[in-house]
Formats: sequence, C-alpha cells, structure tokens
Amino acid sequence: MDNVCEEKVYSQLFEQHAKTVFNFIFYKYGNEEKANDAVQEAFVKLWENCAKVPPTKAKSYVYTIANNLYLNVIKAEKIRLKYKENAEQKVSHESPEYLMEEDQFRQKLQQALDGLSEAHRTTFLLNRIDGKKYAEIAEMEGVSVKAIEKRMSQALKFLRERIDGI
Amino acid sequence: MNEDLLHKWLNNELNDTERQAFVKSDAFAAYGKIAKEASALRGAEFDADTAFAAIKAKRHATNPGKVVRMPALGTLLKIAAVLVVALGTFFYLNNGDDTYSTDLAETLEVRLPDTSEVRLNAGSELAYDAKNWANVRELKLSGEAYFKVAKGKKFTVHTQAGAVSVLGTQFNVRERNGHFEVVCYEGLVQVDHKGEQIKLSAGQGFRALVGDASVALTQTESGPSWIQKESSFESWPLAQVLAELERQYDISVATENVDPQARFSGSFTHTDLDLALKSIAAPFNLTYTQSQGKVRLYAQSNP
Repeated sequence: MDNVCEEKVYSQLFEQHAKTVFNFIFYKYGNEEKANDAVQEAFVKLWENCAKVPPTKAKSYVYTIANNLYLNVIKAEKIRLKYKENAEQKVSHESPEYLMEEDQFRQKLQQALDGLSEAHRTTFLLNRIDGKKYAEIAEMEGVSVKAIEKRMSQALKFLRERIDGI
Repeated sequence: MNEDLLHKWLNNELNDTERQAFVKSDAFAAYGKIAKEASALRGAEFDADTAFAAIKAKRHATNPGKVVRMPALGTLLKIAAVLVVALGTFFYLNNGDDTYSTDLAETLEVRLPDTSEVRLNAGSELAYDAKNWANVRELKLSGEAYFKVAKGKKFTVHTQAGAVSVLGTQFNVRERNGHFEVVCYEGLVQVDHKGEQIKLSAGQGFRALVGDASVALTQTESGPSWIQKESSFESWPLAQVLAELERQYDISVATENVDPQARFSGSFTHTDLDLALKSIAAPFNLTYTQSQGKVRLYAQSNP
C-alpha cells in the first residue's frame, strides 16, 4: 500500500478531501476564512505525521484535526449560501407568481437553515449540497450512522416547521 | 410517518420500485421540496490551488515526514484471489444494492461483473453495487461465502464484525454472531477489527471470539473445509457450532444440561446428520435423539 509521505499520495488525498473539509467547517461556523485555515491546518498536520497515518486513515484524520480546531472556540456565524446558476435557469419559464413563490421559499429556507444547530446544519448540508452519504458524514463527525439519520430527520422536521409554519 | 424510504432517497439508494412508492409517500410530500431545494444551494467558493500552495509553503517550514517505504504489493495484487467471508446477521445488508441470498441447506453461485465468483453458503446474504463495480469493488456479506476474486483493484468485503480487504490472496473468513475468524491461505490479507489492522500472510490466521482476546492462528490446510462439505472449528463456542449444524441441515437443535460456551475443536460432515451429531456429541460425552428435523442433545445423567 502507498505511503502518505509520497507526494503523489498526499496530493491525491488533498484533491479528494480538501473541499469537503472546507465545506464541513464552513457549514458549521459560516466563516470562510476559518474554513480555509482549517484545511491548511489539517493538511499540514497530515504531512507532519505522514509516516504515522496510513492512507486509509488519512480521511478521518484530517476531519478530526479540522473539527477539533475550533471546538468550543468560535461561535457560528450566519451562514451565507448561494443558489447555483443552472438551478435558477431551470425555473425561468415559470409564471412570475410561481417564481416569486419560489423565491420566497428559498429565502425562508436560508433563514431556517441559520436556525439549525451546528451539528444538524452540517449534516444536512453535507448530504444535500455535497451529496455525502450518511456513513461518510458519520465518519467525519465521529458518530454512528444512526445518529446522522436522526439528525437528518430532525433537521427536515425543523426546516419544515419554520418554512410552512406546520 | 415511515422514514426508511426518505433516508434511502437522501442517500441515493432507492431502486425503481421504491422510488415509485416514495414519491407517493407522506415523507415525500412533507420533505421532498425542502430536500430538493436545499441541494441547489452552494456554499462559499473554495480555491484549492491557493490552499495547496499555502500548505506547501508551510510544509517546508516544518520537518517533512519520514518516508517509510512499504513492501511492494503490486506484484501480489496481480494474483487472482480467493477468499471466503462469513457473517451472522441479515439486517446489515438492507439497501438498494443487488442482493443474493440462500436459504437453509442451500448454496448459490454468483458471478460478479468482473468475472469474480462468489459461492454463498447456507443461510447467507450478499449485496453489492453492480453499476459502480468497475470503480469500487466492495461487497457486504452476512453469513458465509467463498470468493474467487479476479485481478483488479482492491477488493473489500464488509461484515458487521469487521472488513476484509484482498491485497492478492486466498483466505477464509468466518463471522457468526460477532465471533470472527480469518485464515489466509495465500498472499496477503488485511483485517480491520475494532480499529486494529492486522496483516496476515499465508499460513497465518486471526480469531476474535466474543468476550475473548484475539489470538493468532497457524494454518496448514490449502483451503477451507466447508467447500468439501465439512465444517471445521478450532476452539469455537459449542453454541456457534450447533448453530452452524442447524444451518447446514435445516434442523433445530435443543440442548439440555449443555454448556453453550464449552469449546469445540473438530469438524462435522454436511452429508450425514447422524455422523455429524456423533462428531459433536462424542467429545463432550453427550447423547442425542433426532426425529423429523428436531434434534435433542443432552448430557447423560447417572451413567
């Protein structure tokens, strides 16, 4: 098996996981700068310990470093999210009323996301935006898959109550 | 509200039938729109190139990690591999993958997309993602199965007790109710068990029985015995041995005054129930009666 100290293996790990580490921290704290710092911190640490961390453990290693960096240190900020371009184009044939409703729905969704706890928001967005499966999120957070399933259920329930007032 | 399908949908694991059921469900009505709209959201932009350059600069300021070369496994990976995996319970496999299962007293041969072959032992189930097989050679198994692995990428069998990855090898795995045993017959096997990674080379084995410390095994046979219609055990709890007997013959075994934790070393045939019962009963000085698929196994009182 390959070694993390090998440049090729290391840069491959970076390519595979850096963006998700960034998103992981961004969804938690809503702070772009902190998310960038976390990526750098995690991957520098990985390099320093490359002889001790086998490639199969590198993924959970960088998540643990990034996660622990701000634990109980910074407060979550308001999280700013955008809609990707093609998603907006897709609905552009619709009537103005429909578009307004959509717009309102999206605004409400964004506001509601801010109301979620760090853990619930991070799990929800990693699944929805990054398409991460529960098992992967569980590995990042160091909890069981069942716990992630519960977070998703609770997050959806919370968002629905906030958006529809149900 | 039943949320099973909802979670499968969120994990992209619904098959066509389930998808049809899901779009009609309460869960979809309640959460479908929220989930869909949320997946159109995007977070902040991440500039990977800048980040990597910054990391490289910081790396040079620190001592680079020591490069430890692992032994070349490339040649081993070229060897076609054979492995057997076994596992206890069924609920582990519950997802949208292609699934094969065997009944009691039944075996089944399955051909994987890369011409790898799997032979499922009695009372077992196997699942894998056929569509993604070219990229990820991963299977989930519960019960017992024998794998002939074609050359290619790393081949991993996940069980509830642990995962087994083929690094170019022939090996045998038995997992029943958390009791776990792996024997390597050729090449090299990596076993992940409770956070511990163990590499086994030919002739080596690993056993972790529930409640016991794991032990190293040595092995001189050329392959697992159950392929030759015989089940072999070394220091396995009697209860697990009887469970295997039930699986092989589709019978039920009741015990009286028998210690289920007593350790059994030996084997029984799959072709003659009476002989098999003798093999198990004799070492413990037990007596048995059998009729119509029911076996009673008990300690002789007052000889």
